Amino acid sequence: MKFLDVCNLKKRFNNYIVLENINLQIERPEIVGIVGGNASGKSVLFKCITGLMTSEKGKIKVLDREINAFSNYQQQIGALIEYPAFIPNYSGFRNLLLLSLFSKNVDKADIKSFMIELGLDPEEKKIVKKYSLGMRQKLGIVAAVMERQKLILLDEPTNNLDVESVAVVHNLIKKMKTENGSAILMTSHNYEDIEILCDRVFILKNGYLIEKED
Amino acid sequence: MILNITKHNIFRVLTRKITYVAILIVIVSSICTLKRNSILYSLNNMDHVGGLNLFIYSSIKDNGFMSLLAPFVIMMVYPSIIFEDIQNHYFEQLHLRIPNKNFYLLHTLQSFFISGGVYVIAHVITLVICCCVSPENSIMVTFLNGPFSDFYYKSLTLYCIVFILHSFLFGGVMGILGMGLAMHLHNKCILWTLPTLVYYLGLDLLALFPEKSQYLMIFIIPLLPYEITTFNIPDIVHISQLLVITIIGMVLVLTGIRNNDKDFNLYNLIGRIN
Repeated sequence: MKFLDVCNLKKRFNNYIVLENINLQIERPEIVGIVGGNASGKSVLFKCITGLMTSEKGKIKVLDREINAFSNYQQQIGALIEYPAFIPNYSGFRNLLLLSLFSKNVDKADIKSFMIELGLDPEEKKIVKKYSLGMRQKLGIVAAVMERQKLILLDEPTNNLDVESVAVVHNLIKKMKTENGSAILMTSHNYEDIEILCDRVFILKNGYLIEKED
Repeated sequence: MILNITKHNIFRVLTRKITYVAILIVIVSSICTLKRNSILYSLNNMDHVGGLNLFIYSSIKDNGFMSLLAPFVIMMVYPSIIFEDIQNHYFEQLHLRIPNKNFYLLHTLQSFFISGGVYVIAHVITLVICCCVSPENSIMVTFLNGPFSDFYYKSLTLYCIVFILHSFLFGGVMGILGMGLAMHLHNKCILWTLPTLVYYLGLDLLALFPEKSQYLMIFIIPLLPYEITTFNIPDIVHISQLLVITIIGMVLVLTGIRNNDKDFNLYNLIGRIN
């Protein structure tokens, strides 16, 4: 079983080609990194993989099931794409609780333990609107991993985090790979993240995805 | 999945103050209408006309206040939630957890049922209040024209139920329209007011057509479709007008999806369903 199989993916906006002939396979629990400049198409690739966007050409399979705009099964992907989005007038815990309604794999205790692990207080009544960028980011990471999906996509997960929190996130990502057996596909502008965490690294440039040699 | 998204959305609707404001608007407008109608139709002994008559005179007959606010009330509740979710990208957070094929369909259905439900709750509360104020049996005290008036002459209870069902239907189709608009607009004030403006433009639009073609045009141009006592039109015409609003709403939803993702197309969707 392949965790992810992207085959000849092409996506463009009007005449601008964002992704061209993208091929990416993840066959075992591993952490795969993608680096690329701003607007290089990393988030678009993630959106195509999660089915938030349809592609012009190509096929995407997650756990051997094809992803497209018309899939009628619940996705097996946990994802944080671009920026963490939540209902601004609810507390962090209530937001996660609402999202957990869609999954059988997560209960209140799980949510609390993930929040505590990332330094968030589940009992805090503060609404998300009043969260700092870092707190929001942590909440976004919890939302992405709490269902313990087999494929987790993290788009710049250490954005807005302090040094201490970055280390905690690194540990969490490693834990998801080793203990949960998840494959993690992540992007980062921070080369340290990529170096410390990733088993394989790809570069996304001019729409093409190229594997980086050692 | 349907149960999950229903629980999710009902929780959100019930935890918003604006929902209760919307219900209150419907009830207060009924009280205002009753006050006016009691003078207009000389209902001196309001305590003895019966709860159903009170309901008819408060919520149905010449309820101009509600006619004015009908689309507005709907836009305040569920379409506003969709609007906010799209603006702050929470829609994508939900999309990740709901099968692609069902995502927009489920949201459209939720929009229909929740928006229609607002009217049902408000009218049932009003009906209960009317029956408490005047617990006597209701007898027919007036003549009514317009869609569904046949039911009035059969049974007052049946007429009240049909009216509530009609309000549910109206709320539902306006909910779909609201969802479609929420996917295109970037300003909540416009979302709240645009359907009300369009709602009134129907009359002016109809006047633009030659008199002969107006008999046909009333099938497709909605004429204050919340009101069922103002225009004496057949039931089928009224239902057809609601259907037109639904179709416009659906088209807006589909174009909204397409705006978000240019590679999405209807031909592809139909092909997959087949």
